[in-house]
Parts: sequence; structure tokens; C-alpha cells
Amino acid sequence: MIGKLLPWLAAADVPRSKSNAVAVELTDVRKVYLTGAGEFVALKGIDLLVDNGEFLAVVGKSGNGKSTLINMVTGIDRPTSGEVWVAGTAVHTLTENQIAVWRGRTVGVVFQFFQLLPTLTVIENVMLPMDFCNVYDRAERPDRAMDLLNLVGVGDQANKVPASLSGGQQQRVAIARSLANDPPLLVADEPTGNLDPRTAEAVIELFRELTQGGKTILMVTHDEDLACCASRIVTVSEGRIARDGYGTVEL
Amino acid sequence: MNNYVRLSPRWRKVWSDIWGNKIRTLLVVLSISVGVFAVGMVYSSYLMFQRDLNISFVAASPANASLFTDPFDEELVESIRSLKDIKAAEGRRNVNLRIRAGDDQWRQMVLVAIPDYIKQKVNVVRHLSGAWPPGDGDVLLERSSVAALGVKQGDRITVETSTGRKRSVKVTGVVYDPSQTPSSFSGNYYGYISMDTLEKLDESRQLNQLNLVVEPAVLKDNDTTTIKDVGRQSWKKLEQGGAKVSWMQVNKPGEHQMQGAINALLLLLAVLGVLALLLGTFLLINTVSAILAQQVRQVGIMKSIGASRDQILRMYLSLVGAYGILSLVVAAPLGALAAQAVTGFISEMFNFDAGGLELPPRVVILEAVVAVLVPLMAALGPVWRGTGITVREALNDYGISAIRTKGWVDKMVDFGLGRLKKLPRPVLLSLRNTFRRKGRLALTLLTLTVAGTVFMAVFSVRTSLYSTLDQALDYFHYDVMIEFADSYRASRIEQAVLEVPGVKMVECWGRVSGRMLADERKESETEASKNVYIIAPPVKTQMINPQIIAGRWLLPDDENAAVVNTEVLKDNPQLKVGESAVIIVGNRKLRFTVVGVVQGILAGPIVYAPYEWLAGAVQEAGRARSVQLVADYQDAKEQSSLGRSIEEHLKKNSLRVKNVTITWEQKKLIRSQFDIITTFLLIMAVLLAVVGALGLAGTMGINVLERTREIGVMRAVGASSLDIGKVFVVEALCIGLLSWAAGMILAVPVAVMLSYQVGMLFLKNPLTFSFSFLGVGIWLVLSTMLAVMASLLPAWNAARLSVRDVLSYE
Repeated sequence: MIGKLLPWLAAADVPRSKSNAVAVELTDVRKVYLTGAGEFVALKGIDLLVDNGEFLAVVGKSGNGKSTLINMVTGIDRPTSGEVWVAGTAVHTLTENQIAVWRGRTVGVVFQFFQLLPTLTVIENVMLPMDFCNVYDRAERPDRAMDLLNLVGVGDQANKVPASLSGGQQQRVAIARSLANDPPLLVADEPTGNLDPRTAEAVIELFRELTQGGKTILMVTHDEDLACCASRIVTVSEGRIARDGYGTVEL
Repeated sequence: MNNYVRLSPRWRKVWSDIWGNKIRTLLVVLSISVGVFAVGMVYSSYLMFQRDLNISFVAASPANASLFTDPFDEELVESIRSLKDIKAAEGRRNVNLRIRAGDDQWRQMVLVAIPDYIKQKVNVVRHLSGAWPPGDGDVLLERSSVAALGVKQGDRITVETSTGRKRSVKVTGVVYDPSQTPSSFSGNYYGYISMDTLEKLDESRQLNQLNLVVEPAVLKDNDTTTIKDVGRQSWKKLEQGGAKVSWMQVNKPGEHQMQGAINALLLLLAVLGVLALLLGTFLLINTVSAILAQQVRQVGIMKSIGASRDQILRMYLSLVGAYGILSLVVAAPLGALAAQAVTGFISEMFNFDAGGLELPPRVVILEAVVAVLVPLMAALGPVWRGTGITVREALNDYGISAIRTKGWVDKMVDFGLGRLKKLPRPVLLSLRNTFRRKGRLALTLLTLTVAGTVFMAVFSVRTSLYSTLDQALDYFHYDVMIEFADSYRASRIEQAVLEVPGVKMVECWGRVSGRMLADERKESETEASKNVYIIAPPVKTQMINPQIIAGRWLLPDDENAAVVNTEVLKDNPQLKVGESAVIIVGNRKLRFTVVGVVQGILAGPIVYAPYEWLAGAVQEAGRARSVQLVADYQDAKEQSSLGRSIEEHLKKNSLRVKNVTITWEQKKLIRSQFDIITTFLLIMAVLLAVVGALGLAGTMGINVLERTREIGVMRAVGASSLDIGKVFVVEALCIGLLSWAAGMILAVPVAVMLSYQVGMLFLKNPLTFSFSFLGVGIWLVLSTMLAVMASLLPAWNAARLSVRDVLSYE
């Protein structure tokens, strides 16, 4: 009904993406925050290219711009200047509403604090993105959600509410949810920050398996040991990329 | 699994928001219901009332005009019936006599004798049970008098006739007379007898009331000119036939004789409905904003996984719509029930039959609009803002909001608090918290202030009603008034009265009614004229306390001087001090010189003239038709029994007593009639207070939820449960006191307006305004109590939270 009454509001058609594009391409991205203490420059001109199938770890000290960087990729935050291309879409040109729809289909987001909806069961949480973006047939969705839960190893918890699960289990559910619409790109902000080391390792292992299945993964972490499991490590320092290396990197 | 096919996850989320948080749902549903309930109650009682009143009213075929006269013969009615434009004319006889029912108490009863009960055409008295028509020596009681008197069919009643003899009549049935005000409100009892019985009660076989119905064809809508014309012609005929007319009552066609009071009640109901709706809406805006505030993070999460703004808008608007439908289901039946109670109450007051419970479609439609559309409109703003938040802002919402740039309100609060440095820190925290969310504070304050304003104003209307009454009764200083059926020598009356022990002072007054002419021309006699009542006290009377507005009071040398009250002036604006006035009394044309104007309160149009002169002018020199006296005792009961013994004594001395009025009983009666309207007003005030309390409870509940993390921090640094509870209670108290102060200031103009309206509608006169400080005091206590109660549950909830609970809270 709203769509008919307020067409501009419901207009969320995302421009068609370029084909054969790289997973992520950032060109001279700057981000300036206005704070009570004046301007704060979080990103000072970032250039970054991520290929399809890469497992990229973004590391760096707290407050150096890691999260801001990947918020640019997910469209959660917008650059002050520069261009952000993700899977062939110019994210910096989209409206807030277009970003939401685009993100739902293209990017799976995993947060440090899981961010599951407390009033829905585990399986409902996983089905929610399919519902919002209206992908997959309605009848098909429960089966697909169940498959994803089995994939991340919490299939037996499907009908519980998030609060009754352990942290590791909740994060697995969050990962299953991020995979719901089969997005080519997964972005995770400190996904292991709230987990014990053993669970954290299991999550990283899961990510590795997913990249082998063809997904591109961007992960922010301050845990260098875990970062080493990635295929490429980007170090952010004071709003710039300080190091960018493939394979095992020693710091 | 099929479950998920039927209801997708996002609608499951909406469902769990409704079902999962029952307290919150209850609060929202309550706040919507209050408005729906009030609107539904007002509208359906209005409709039911109109419907029922009309049915009873039309069935009774009410008189367009009634003339009250000295006794006349039935043949006179016949000649009036032949007048042009008269559709029906009927006479009846009313006598006011003392009766004794089962208990040993003597009461006044209006006995009505109707020549032909079967062929009634005007002010029809309907048969309900028992005998019909009343047989010789029987009396049928009006239905409202049966319970009030405590008698059964078959019981006997003792009647004391105007000559002092006692007769016994048998109650053989019950009737319904829509033209009478029920006993419980009028304090009168009504009995219906045959003309034969009337004769047995020492009364002549004559009539003293003429009821007229005018041909509907000559009536123009609500215009009463034709009715007055026809009435005046009948008046003339009656007086030509030798019956002195004392009063003509003209009713607007299609309007109940108490339409003014009915309109006053409807007005009050409407005000109540609108206010409750308004306050309910404020409450709703607050609650919906709070729900959105609580769900900021969830909105962020949904956006991060691909929900567009219109999807989220739809979810939250559906949530609000669902609350609305739930409220409709709760409030619509309650509103109908309340409407039935209101209609029942009014029907008892105005003596009509209350019909059955009804929920007309238009009421349901209005309720549905109020239940669903109003909340949606109220929610649109908060939902629009809430869903517009970006993911980053939403996920950064930590639960302790930062202090924003300070405005002048903050500076004032800071300045104020700075001067109160000695206050304990938790109290300071409460005070500062109070002003933190200014929008919410403003709405809560508004709700409570409106409730308080109306509450205090209502008390002032009540006080004003009472002080108007006191002032009206202070006008006349006698304790007992006795009216006679004939005129007697004044010295004989005075002597007889003074023989009864306990009489302190006695005065005989002339009382006569007439018509005030527009001027002295001969033609004016047949033109439109107004009823006036002439009271002729001795010039040096000590029983009248006139409030002179212009000119002067009567002086000993005055001959044809007249003092008119403001009611007379209202009907006859041409009158001026120093000029003449012409009044027709019987078939005499009396010329007066107006010497003064006095305030008239609740007394009708009265002309005061010197006794000596008037008695001479109407050929009753030295005679009087009424006597008023002051008792030796202050005690009300003793005054009543004095009245009774005087009546008995006068009857023994063969003075025919028509009526005995005991001032304090009259006062009590009017007061109880006033209480009807003040009860209504009080119910209205209490309802609004409930809405106000709900609003405050809601706000405090939201404040606790919003500051859960803050509570955790306070706990972590060593605050006890009591400390935390206190923070919220003090905050609520602060809001309560602020609204009390604001309400007090607003209550003055509102009370003035409301008193004026109620006075004009109920008494056709503005009330003597008197502000009620009692109301202010009661509201202070009430708002303080409400504030504490409204904050106790949220405070207890807050104090119960453990540090771990609140710091991990999201």
C-alpha cells in the first residue's frame, strides 16, 4: 500500500551492476567525522582492490579506522569523498534505501555482538533477510535456512531463541543469516571479539571453507593470530593502509 | 515448518512484539482504549438518549403550553377547545396535600385528578399495572414514587385534606407520567385520582391546569409565537370565565421541558469525550516514540540485513494498527455498556424509558477511526524518524545517551539546581533527568496538566453552583412560607400563626401574577406579553435582602412603585428606572413606576410592589394569600416540624392551606439536583485523572527502560535498590508538582468559562463564580499520590535489575 501511496519511498531499485567486476574497489576514500572537539579524519584516502574469492583480514589498533573502512564497503557508512565499488555497484551513489536492499542481496554482514533479533527464533532470524529481499520461494525458505544452520553446525538449535544459545552458537547463527541470500561478499567486524579462542578458531575455519566455495570475505580483527589464517592481510594505521600483504605475515 | 509459510519472519517479529511484551501492549492498548471508550460512550449515549427520549416524548404527546390557574369548571375547557388553531385542550386538577404512607412520616404529595383517563390526548399518563382508570377512593402512583414512598399495591395512604380532615385512599395501581420529574430528583410524590375521589378529599370538582396542543400545521419549526398567541387567547377565556391565571408555561415544540439541563449534560459529555481523546493521543505519541527508541538497534539490524525503509515502516505501522484493533475490541463493548449506564441515569432523571443496549454502526465506525486512524497518525511522526536512522547510528546506540548541546531550558534548570546545592545527589539526578527528554516531558506534563485543570475547574463549577444557590436563598430570609387557596384577612393569618409556639417573626405578603405589557396603548393588551410574578411585601420587610443594581428599594410613602429584578428586565428591555410599567392582573390594568432594579437569582421574573398599594389595587385591601415566618430555632428538623404544626393549626382555624414550603428542605432539594450535574462533572474529572496517571506511568516506565544501562552503572558504583527507586519516584513527583502548578493557573479561566456555560444551559443564568481551593488541594494530594503510584512499578522494576542484567541489556 505504501508503495502505491509513496512511490518514491518504496523505490529501491538498485542500478544494474557491471559484469565481471572485482569484489571490492575503493578509490581515494576519505571519511571525516564532525565531533564536539572538531573535525576528525578517520580515513585519509584509501585505495583498495579485493578480488573475488579472497579472504581479506583488516588489522590495526583500536581507533585507527578499521571499522570505518569496512563500513564503507557494506554501505553502513558513506565516504566523505572517493568511490566505493562493490561487485560492480557504485555504493557511494546509492540512496540509504537502495543501499539496504542492495546490501541484503549482495553483502552478508557479521557483527561482533551477533545482533540477532531477540524476539525471533534462530531459524526465523536466518529467514529474515530472504523475507525482506524477497528471494527464494516462500515454501523453500525454511528448508534453505535449515540447510544453512546445518552448514554452520547449529541445526539442532533452530527453534530456540538467541538468548538461550552460547556466544559461539549465536555467532554461527549470525553467519548463517549473513549467508541467507547467498551474497558473493561477506563482511565481518570483529566476528570473534566476543568468543573464546577455540570457538574463534572454528569460526575462522568456517570462513575459510566459505572462501573455498567462492565467497569473498572481509574480516576486521585485532587478533593477529587469527588474521594469519586469511589469504591477505591489510593493516590500517591512522586512517591509511600501512601494509598490504598476501600469505602469512609477521608483525 | 508450514507455520513459516503462513507467517513470514518479519510478521512473526511484529507478533512477538505485541505478544512478547504484554505489559507494554497493555499500556498502549489502555491509552488508545481511553479515547475510544470516551468517544464511543459519548456518541452512543447521545444517540440512545435521543432515540429513547423521542419515543417516550412523542408517545406522551406533550403540551405546547400549560396554564396554571385558580379552579375552573370543565365546561370552560370545551370553549377553549373551540378556539382557532387548537388541536387539543385538556384540563386537570393538581392539589398538593399532606399524606402519610406505611411509616409514620408526613409528606407532601401532588394529587392529580384527570376527568377522563381513557380519552387522554395531552401529557398522556400511561397505565402500567393494577387498576385502570383509578376507581372511587383509589390512587394510582407514578412509577418513580412507588419505591420512594415504600408502598405496595393494596396499601392504604392517609391524606390530610386542606380543611384538616384525614381520609384514607387505597393504592391500586402504577402509572407512568413522562411529564413529571421523577420523585428521586424532584422530591415530589405523584398520585393519580378520579374526580370523585377529588371531591371526597374536600376539594371542588374543578380543574386548575390547562394543557394545550397547537395545530401542527400552524407551527413553524421551533417558533413559539403561535403557541404564545393561542396561550394568551386561552388565558383571556379562562379569566373571562372567572379563573385567575397564575402562570403560563410555553414549551418549544419537540423540546423536552428540561432541554436546557439535557443540553448541559450533553455538552459536558462532549467535552469529556474530546478531552479524553486528546489526552489519549498525547499518551500514544509518547508510547510509540518510546517503543521506537527501544527498538533503534533492532531497526539497525534489520536494515543491515537488507530491509528497506518502507518495509520497516509497514511493520511498525502494522504494530500500531494491531494495537488499535485490540483497543477497539476492548473499548467498544465497554463504551456501549457505559453509554447504557449513562442513558439509564439520564432516563431516570428525566423520566423516560431507557431502551435496550445498542451499538449502532456509525458509533462503531467512529470508534474504529479513533482506534486505528488516530494512533496511526500519532505514530507516523515517530515511526518515520525512527526508521530513518542509519545503520551506523542504530548500532552505536549504547543505551546511555550523550548530553546534547544545551538550550535555555537546560541553563535555567542548571541555574535552578545550582541554587539547591544542598540537595542530596540522587535527588539532583532525578531533577536533572526530569528535564532530559523535553519532548516527552512536555507531552506528559500536558496530559497531567489538562487532567488537573479540568479536575480543579470542575470543583470550581461545583462551588459556583452552590454559592449561586446560597446567594439565591439568602435573598429571602424566611424559614417557612405558607400559601393559601383563598385570600384571608392579614391580621387573622398573623394572629393564627403567632399562636403556634416557636414563631419569631411573621409577615403577610401579597402574591399575584400578571402579564407585563410593552406599553400603555390599548392594542398592547392583545399583543405578546411576558409573565411576571408580583410579590408585595410590607415596605419595611425584614425578610428580603435585595441586591440593588439601579435605583432604590421600596420606601414607606411609595404608592404604585415597583422594583423589578433582572429577569424581568431580560424579558422587557424597555423598562427603565423612573419610567412606567403596565401589568395586567386578572382583568385590571395596573400602572407602576419603576423605582429600582435588583439582581434576580434562580427566582424567575419578579416585580416587588408595596403591600398596601397592591392589596388595594386588586381589591383585597387588608387581605393576603401568603404568609412567611422566621422560626425561633436554627435547627432544620425543628423548622420542618414547626411548619407542620402551623399547617395543622391553620387548618383547624379553617384557613385553606394550598402549599407549605420549608426553606431548608427546598435548599436541600435544589442542592441534590445540582449534585446530578456535579456528579457528572466529577466522573469526568476522575476519568481524566486516570488518563493522566496512565500517561505518567507510561512515561516513567519508558524512562526506566531507556536508562536500564544507567541504572546498572549506578548499581556498579554502589547505589542501593532504595536509592534507585527513589530517583524515579522523585522524578515522577517533580512532574506531578509541575503539572499541578500549571493546572492551577489554567484552571481559573477554564473554570470561569465552564461555570458560565453550565449556568447558562442549566439555569439560564451565569453562575456566581467562586474558585474552589478545595479542588486545588485535592488535586495536589491526588497528583502527588498518582505520581508516586505511577512511578512505583517502574522504580521497583529498575531496582530489581542486577548489574549483569543491565550491562548486557540490549
